[in-house]
Amino acid sequence: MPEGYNFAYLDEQTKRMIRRALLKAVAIPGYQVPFASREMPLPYGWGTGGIQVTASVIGPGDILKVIDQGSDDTTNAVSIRRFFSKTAGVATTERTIDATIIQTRHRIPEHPLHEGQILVYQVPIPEPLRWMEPRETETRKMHALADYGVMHVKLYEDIARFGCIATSYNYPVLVHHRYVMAPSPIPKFDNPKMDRMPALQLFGAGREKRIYAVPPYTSVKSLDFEDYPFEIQRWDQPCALCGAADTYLDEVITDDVGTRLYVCSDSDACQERQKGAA
Amino acid sequence: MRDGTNGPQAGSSGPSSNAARARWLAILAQAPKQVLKEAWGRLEAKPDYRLIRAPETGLALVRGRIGGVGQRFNIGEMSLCRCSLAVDDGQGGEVAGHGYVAGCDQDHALYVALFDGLMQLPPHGARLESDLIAPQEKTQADAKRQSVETAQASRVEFFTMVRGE
Amino acid sequence: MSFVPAAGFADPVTDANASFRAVLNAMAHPGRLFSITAQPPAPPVLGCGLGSILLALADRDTPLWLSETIAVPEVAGWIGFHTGAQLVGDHRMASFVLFHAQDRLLPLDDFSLGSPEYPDRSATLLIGVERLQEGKGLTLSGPGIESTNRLDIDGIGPEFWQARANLAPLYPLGLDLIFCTQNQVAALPRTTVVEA
Repeated sequence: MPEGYNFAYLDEQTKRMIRRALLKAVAIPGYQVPFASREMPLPYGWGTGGIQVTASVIGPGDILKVIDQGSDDTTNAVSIRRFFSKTAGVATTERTIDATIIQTRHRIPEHPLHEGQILVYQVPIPEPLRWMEPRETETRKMHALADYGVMHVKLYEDIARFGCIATSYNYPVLVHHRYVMAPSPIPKFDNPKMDRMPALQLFGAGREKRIYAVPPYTSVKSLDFEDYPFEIQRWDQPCALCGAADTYLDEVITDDVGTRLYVCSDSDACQERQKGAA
Repeated sequence: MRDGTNGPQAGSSGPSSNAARARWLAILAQAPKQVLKEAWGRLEAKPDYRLIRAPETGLALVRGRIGGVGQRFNIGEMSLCRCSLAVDDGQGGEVAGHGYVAGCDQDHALYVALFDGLMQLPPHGARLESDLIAPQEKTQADAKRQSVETAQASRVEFFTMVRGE
Repeated sequence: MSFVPAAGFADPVTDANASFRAVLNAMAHPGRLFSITAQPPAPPVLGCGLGSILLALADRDTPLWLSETIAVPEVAGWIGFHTGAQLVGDHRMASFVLFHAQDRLLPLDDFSLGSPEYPDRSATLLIGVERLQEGKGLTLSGPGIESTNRLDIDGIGPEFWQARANLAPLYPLGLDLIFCTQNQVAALPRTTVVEA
């Protein structure tokens, strides 16, 4: 580990403050705990919240995986992985099953997570009610009173306009039958994975200065209506690389005449499957 | 590292000994680490010590008057290192030594804490005063005077402007 | 001669991290035991389990309240030196409350339970116990528990569990409990349902 950096970049005072926020977040599933987010050496929107959570949790024995839109090789994932191998000297991996901590932006890995793993989400806007109600004082009151009618109205308006619930990512969930929570901009395809997940899920929003959590084996229900039940995306073709029919696919345009290719967004799951088939 | 505790007091004899300790702590904190390291190397009988608070790096909020006038306000945060240890006094007791230095050099804080402990022990105190503290005080004062003189030499008086002081 | 406190963590960064991870795991898996590996030379009346948790989590922003048996000068000096946390006489102001299982129980609803808008501003109770054992005793269910967990906590009587159960209707307001021996920790967040 190079001289001059604190372990995992943050000073101990900051880690203590974040650690206390994390403990309260786990104790009150889905509730957004305010915390004193620090300036990080990268801009807001690049995962400053997730990085601060990871930095406060990570220890010398951890193995870190970082994904961005499911992929281990995109700029954001590569920079954050290098950031922690430089400042904390921890081992990193691309394999979902080997990682003890997985920091993610916009996806949950396809391979089911196991107990003892920690999934850290980077969150741009932690408040699910923000687009309906811009005032923090009001949204706080709405959470206090569990007054979530406005969220159902929004989903209803989707149905009235489009004939179905058109929200396809950051789809609101109800955690432990109490708090409506933003799952961060993961596709709604991933929402069912959050329900009773054996791994601990931590969420960090750096710009908005909020931390929240879902403990293992906790009920996470996507909001819906009896006559319009929650549904996930489906594709009419499998992944062009590994042939998986049960994963989230990215649409890749391959030439100028609009030829399209559908491939797994989770690069690790796709490669593992290709290796298995070979 | 906003630590409000003053920790153990130097000796037991009130403000005068505190002032003396503040003087040597300031000199030690501003002395280069290399100087302290060499002074430690020159010690014949190195006392035993145990760490109370291992060296650690943190942030401190710096306040001041940026323009030299008005109310103090928060200028920014700076990195600093601190360390606390207990030095064996050779008579079955021990004294606490504390070191706070600017920057991220944890060994530097450790040396300051060691010498702070030693300065409170009569056999070491007098020798270190002449060997380390007094020469460093002079070096630091000279460096400061020189920098003030350099700055003063560049002062320009404009006939058409009134200095705002 | 001057007061010289006992040492804190031998390795402040990794010991604090390991102690926090034990508490985080305990909070995420209520009723399961996790090891506290750090062994700071905390005053014996505090014990190195509670001592490690305090060093890892307490600082100037967390007022502490200590029970009479813990609030001896040696402990107050050690905590003050290493954490800088303020010791408060009024237990309603404390964010961390420390007591031993055998201490006189204060009414639980007298501690800070948070507010409806900010349920996180509630006290965390750190309770020193002689022995913790998994697989027997109380039956626990709730978030963090796959079906049920069982935990036996030495020296905590039924009146305590009754007082805790009385807080349940106030959720999301509530108290989070951390039980600690010399080297093991278990936690019961406010969401855990306890049956005797």
